[in-house]
Amino acid sequence: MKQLHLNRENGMVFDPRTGKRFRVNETGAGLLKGWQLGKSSESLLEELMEQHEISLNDAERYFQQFVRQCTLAGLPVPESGKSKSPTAVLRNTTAA
Amino acid sequence: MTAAPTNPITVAITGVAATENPGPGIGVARSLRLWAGPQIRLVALAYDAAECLALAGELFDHVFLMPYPGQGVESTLDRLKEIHAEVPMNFLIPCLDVEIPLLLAAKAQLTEMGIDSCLPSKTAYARRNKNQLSALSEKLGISVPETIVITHPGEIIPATKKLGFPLFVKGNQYGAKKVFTLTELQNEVEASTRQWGYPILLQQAVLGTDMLLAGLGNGRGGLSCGAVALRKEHQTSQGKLWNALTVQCPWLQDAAEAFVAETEWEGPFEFECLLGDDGSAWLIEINPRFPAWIHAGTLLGVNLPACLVGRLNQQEERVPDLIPAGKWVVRSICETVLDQDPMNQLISEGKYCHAENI
Repeated sequence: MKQLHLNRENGMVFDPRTGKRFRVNETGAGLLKGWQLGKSSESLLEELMEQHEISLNDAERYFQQFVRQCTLAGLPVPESGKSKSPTAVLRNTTAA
Repeated sequence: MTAAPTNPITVAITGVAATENPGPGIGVARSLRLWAGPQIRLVALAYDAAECLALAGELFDHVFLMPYPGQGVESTLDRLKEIHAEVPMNFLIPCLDVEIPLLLAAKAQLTEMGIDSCLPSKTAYARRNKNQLSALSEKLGISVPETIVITHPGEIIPATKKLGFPLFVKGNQYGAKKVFTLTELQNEVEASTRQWGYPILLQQAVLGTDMLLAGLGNGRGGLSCGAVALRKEHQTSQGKLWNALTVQCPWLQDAAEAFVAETEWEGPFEFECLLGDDGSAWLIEINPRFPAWIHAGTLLGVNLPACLVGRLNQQEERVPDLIPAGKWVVRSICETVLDQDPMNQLISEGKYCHAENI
């Protein structure tokens, strides 16, 4: 994920391992940048909820949709994005 | 990058066709000229006068016509001796697949003449032949599409039952054509065997994007001066590279490193692979020479032809440079105007010399 070339101004994403290029919107670019910075899924979900004033359920739905799109595109989605339910992570964190 | 030579050297280069299907020799020459400027004398060894007109007097100091490789080792050696008497050559860089076995057979005589070259061993060369690639690929950790070697027309139909359509018909040295029907296949086999003879290879057609890597084996199991990898974005009607993107592809690099380690490959090579949409990687061919796009690597900081000549010239090797990923490689054409007529001289005398070098 850290190897991805991300241009936040125009949303262009380049995977240097495969040469594939993608375009993401501002929210997608924010998520990719967050992953590159090593942010956790719960922190990214919180940012989504805050920035777009949406519920946790909606944030999780959009988040998982993005993860699926990244996976289909062959992008290296971090384990925190793939294997755990962000809601569960967030809820666990909240509960703690 | 390898330091420019301090001694004057003369390098002969083949594969110099400057046509819509450019030979690798042009990129090799451009890279060497960029590296050493006038310190290096470049000699083009061409098979066809018309194919190299654009280069006469521009990139090369001398152009000599050669007998076609099909005329055999003796014929090639005799011509090289004539050329060498006129323009003493230090090094020879073969840039066409079919020349490698010829030069391997003539290696001792070339050394005796004082012409050094960088060639793989006969065994290493044979192991990357298309009909032996499947066995080699197992050692490299990369798959080859299912391939059936055909030595007789009677083997065609049983092979199609196994492979299905579409499939590729490949000559063992040159050529690859995709066919979709039995009639197309039989016609293509006939055309290919008429030109190259048997064996013919029938190969499962795998869908994917072309991924290419150029490297230089040091003959001791390692790479010299790094490698250059591209993802082909657009190609010409002949399937030749038009536009590409530079990549840093771990599986491609790993396979290339495994190849030079396994075969102790000495000299240039090109990996041609496919990356499937599902992420699967396939090895299609290993060419025993620089690719025609080699100058792109030079422009990006990895001058493999200079590294090769630097090695032959006993110069110190530098730490490999890394090519940045995401750079566009664009092939374009340009017109050249010449004051002299190189065609007449090339055809009548078998050579052309730039006026300043006569």
